[in-house]
Amino acid sequence: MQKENSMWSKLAFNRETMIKLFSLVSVIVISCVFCVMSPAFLSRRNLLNILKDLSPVLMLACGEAFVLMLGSIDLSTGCIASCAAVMLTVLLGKIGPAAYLVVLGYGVFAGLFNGVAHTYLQIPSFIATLSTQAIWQSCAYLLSGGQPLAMLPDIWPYVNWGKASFFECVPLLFVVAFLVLLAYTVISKYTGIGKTVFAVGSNERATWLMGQNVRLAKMLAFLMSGLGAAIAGIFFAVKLKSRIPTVGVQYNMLGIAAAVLGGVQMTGGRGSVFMTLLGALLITIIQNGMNVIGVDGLWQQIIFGALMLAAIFMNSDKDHKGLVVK
Amino acid sequence: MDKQVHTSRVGEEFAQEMKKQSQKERFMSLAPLIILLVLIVIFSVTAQGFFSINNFYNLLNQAAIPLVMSLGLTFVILMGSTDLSAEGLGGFIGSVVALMVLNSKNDMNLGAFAIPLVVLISIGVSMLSGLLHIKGKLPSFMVSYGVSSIMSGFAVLSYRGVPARIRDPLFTVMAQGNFLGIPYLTWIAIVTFVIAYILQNRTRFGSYVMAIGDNEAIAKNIGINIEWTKFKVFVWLGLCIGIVGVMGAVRVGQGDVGIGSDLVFPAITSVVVGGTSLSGGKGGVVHTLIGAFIVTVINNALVLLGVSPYIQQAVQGLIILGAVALSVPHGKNLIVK
Amino acid sequence: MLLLSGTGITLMEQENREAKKMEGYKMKRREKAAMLSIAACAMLVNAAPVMAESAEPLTIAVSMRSTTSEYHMQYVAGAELFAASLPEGTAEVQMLPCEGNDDKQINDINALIASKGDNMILFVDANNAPNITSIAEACEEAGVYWCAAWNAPEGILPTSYKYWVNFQSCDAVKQGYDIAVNLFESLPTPGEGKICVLEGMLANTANEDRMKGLNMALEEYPGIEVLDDQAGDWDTGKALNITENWLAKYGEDGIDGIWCACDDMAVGVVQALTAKNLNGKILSTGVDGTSAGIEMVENGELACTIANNGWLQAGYGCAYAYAAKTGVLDTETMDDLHRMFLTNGYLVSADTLADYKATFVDSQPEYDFTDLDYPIAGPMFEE
Repeated sequence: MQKENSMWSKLAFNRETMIKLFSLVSVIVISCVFCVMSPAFLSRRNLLNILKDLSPVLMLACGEAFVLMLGSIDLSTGCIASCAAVMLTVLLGKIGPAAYLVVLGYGVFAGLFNGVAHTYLQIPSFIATLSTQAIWQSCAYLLSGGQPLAMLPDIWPYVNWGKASFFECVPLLFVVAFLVLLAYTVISKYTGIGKTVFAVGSNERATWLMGQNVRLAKMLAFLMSGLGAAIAGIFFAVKLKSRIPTVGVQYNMLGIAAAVLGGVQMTGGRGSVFMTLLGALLITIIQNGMNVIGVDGLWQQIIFGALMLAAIFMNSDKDHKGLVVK
Repeated sequence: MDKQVHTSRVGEEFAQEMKKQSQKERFMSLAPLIILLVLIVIFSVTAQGFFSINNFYNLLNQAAIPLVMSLGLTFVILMGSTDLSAEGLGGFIGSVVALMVLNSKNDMNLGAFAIPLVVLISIGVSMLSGLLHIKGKLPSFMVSYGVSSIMSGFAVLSYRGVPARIRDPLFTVMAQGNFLGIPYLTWIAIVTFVIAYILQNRTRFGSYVMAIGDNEAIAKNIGINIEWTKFKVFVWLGLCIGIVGVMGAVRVGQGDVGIGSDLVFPAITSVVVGGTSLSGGKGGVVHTLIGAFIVTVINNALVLLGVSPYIQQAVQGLIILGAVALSVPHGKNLIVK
Repeated sequence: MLLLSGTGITLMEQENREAKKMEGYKMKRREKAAMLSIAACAMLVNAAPVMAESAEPLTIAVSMRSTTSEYHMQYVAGAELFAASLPEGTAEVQMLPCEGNDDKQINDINALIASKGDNMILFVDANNAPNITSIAEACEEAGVYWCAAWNAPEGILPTSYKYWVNFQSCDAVKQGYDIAVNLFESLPTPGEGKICVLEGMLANTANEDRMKGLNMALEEYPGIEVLDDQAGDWDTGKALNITENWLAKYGEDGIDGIWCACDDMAVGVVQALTAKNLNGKILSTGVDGTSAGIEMVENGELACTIANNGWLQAGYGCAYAYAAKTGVLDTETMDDLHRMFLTNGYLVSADTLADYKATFVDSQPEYDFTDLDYPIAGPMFEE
């Protein structure tokens, strides 16, 4: 009896680590392939690039992971990021560094807005966030006056921290992103409300019956997503040194892709916020690597899609025979 | 004697409650239609040119492609899945069909044969994507995203920057002509709608899809072949996307990957606004028809009202939020994802 | 790297051995399938055309918006023309399409710089003006010579950077102005009438400039009334829908002309007009000089379009950067005229059509890339 127990528990442990390891394996395999084809891929300079590019996507993904773990979806993250980027640029010129706080506050507000639409108005998250995506995109246009403009030199001192790096290959941007990721992981794994988010994703009715505050958990998830998007927007503004209202539009989907590649199940209840790091890393490496090794521009989308499919295939969890995959 | 009266009273109360519930449900299912009518009334009053024959003709034209797309997606959503591949696949089909008929770039001239050919290609790709989802147990959202990316890459490759302008007279006629006053493209949409209606309500396939969407585990237990049904849903989706790709090429007169852009999310919106539930099991093609019209009417009216392009998106978003808030079921114990 | 992968694989093997009992076999098969697919991708990538081998030939990078725009593909063709003019094997062209994503444009350029170091030159059509600042800094640091066309932020100029060889543009404001004036003069009553304005993508630098030109023209022609202004996102389908709605709103007699900001959208506009047999009666405009645009001018459906001549822009842009790299030019001693100039956009209208076709369509213009003065039509900034 005991022997069986330990065997079963060992297997359970193995399955979990399998999934985590697969993400790591995908990253390693793809990096190896790129490296073999062009040694410059792992040069210090390129590592710096990769980590810099990674940071905004990571922020979008870890916020999104919260919502995905609920079993819902947040499609507005890219546009919240655009609006945040524009807001930061406009406000830095007017109120200086306090602009950062205002933008973070905006992220919280946007997240709560999504949360209210979903929990109180009971609108499915897909539609609610699709609509808020449109609203925030319009706000971005209006705030920027329809003009993509560069940041004026007088506010450059406030954003020059974006250029700093350690050992010439780890940008400060990434360090900040990593710290935020850690904070998110702690919230999701070690706080009561974070664990409720997991529970709601696994079985909402059971969680509700047990007396947990489902509404609060949902609001928290969307809040984290909005906040993550706003941080991503800050990173965009600092990287690009400009306010371009359309900067985040492509990232609506990439944030979700990164979270899913990091092992978060779209049906909810499974996954780890920390692992979205691997998902975001995978996407960034694919995009960066394709340029480093010189893939023809016309083929890049095709190869990106194919690699994504391969990566999803490798990361999927096929052990649950009874699980319904939607 | 007392007990009997008591029981019958309880019975009456119960019957009344059920009646109220079913009335509520009927009202809820009519809500999208009411919303559509209200919107039409509001826009007729406020937007110049909305309430005119010309504009209704426009509406029919503009609703045709989104409607076919939504019909394809309806079955997917009724099952509880999502599919984003239309963007890349639709663009690919549109580009390829332009290259196959008489056009400005090459010597191919397959004429009307090109259409069933590309529709078959579309079904093929959709089947592959469906197989990955069904057999590989990968979430349909991500698979279709990957497929979309690949297909739009192929679309661009197929015409290398210079779109092929269609010269085939059949296509020109289809774009501009009409039959009994209704444009040809709209006829295609109507026919597709009728087929979809029959599929949903008169075939076993339709009821299986509803069952799977409602509760997959139970559906499996009563013996429905889930994988085969899902597969058929993807075939239908491929068919619709193929038709949409051809219609898009016809309308625009050239083969362009942009044919597929901005098709999927409005289509999903149409389906949901119409009252079909995203988790599956509720709704149907009639709902989708109403939803598609709501979305088209809003788009059309915003241009007629001269709303500034900067805030058009926000206005659309707000209206959709309102429409969906009104038409989804509300309840304390309801689980919404 | 190898250490990491070695560790990874050893860990995997251990797990595999332990889990072999139940799911182990399936896992291994799946893992193998995954490895195979990655290897297949690697082979596919190998087979994909234009893979710049590291180190040897010079890489000519062309960073532009999209592969779906005929005009942007002209850049690539122009760069290839230039590469062909050099001795065999000296240079290879690599395109970096950013698909409208500013972040990607900068990331892609950075990645290529990391890969090629200074063994490359760059031609950039910035997706939005502010991107130029980041690109300038990256190239300056890496010692990569480069040229830009079209968009640059105000106040940021090549003269402040050693490696930014030149900046050229057709004057987008002038273009918006020219096509507007041409349209106004082509109206049934020249200089008077009602028009609708179809912009491109909101908040896009090129679009904003063309709108400025249009507004300048409107000030000079008080007889023109603007009925409505919508954004078509440079998309043919959207332009079609918007035009249909306009025709319904204003009636077929209510519109005299449509100012349209690019050829791709003009295709949609003309499609909508053709459906009502109004093509040729209500004129539209376009910009870019795509083959579709030229055809429509020929058919009398388009009042005019402007061929920006992407071949010339990219070809000479690369020539300048190459000259600086090989020491033929020294950016420190170049005068302002050579560092910032305007190139000729060709206004193609019914009058100039025959000329244009003879030079650019029926034959490929021969460009002498050693004559660096050739493309200059005038200084960008009046002294």
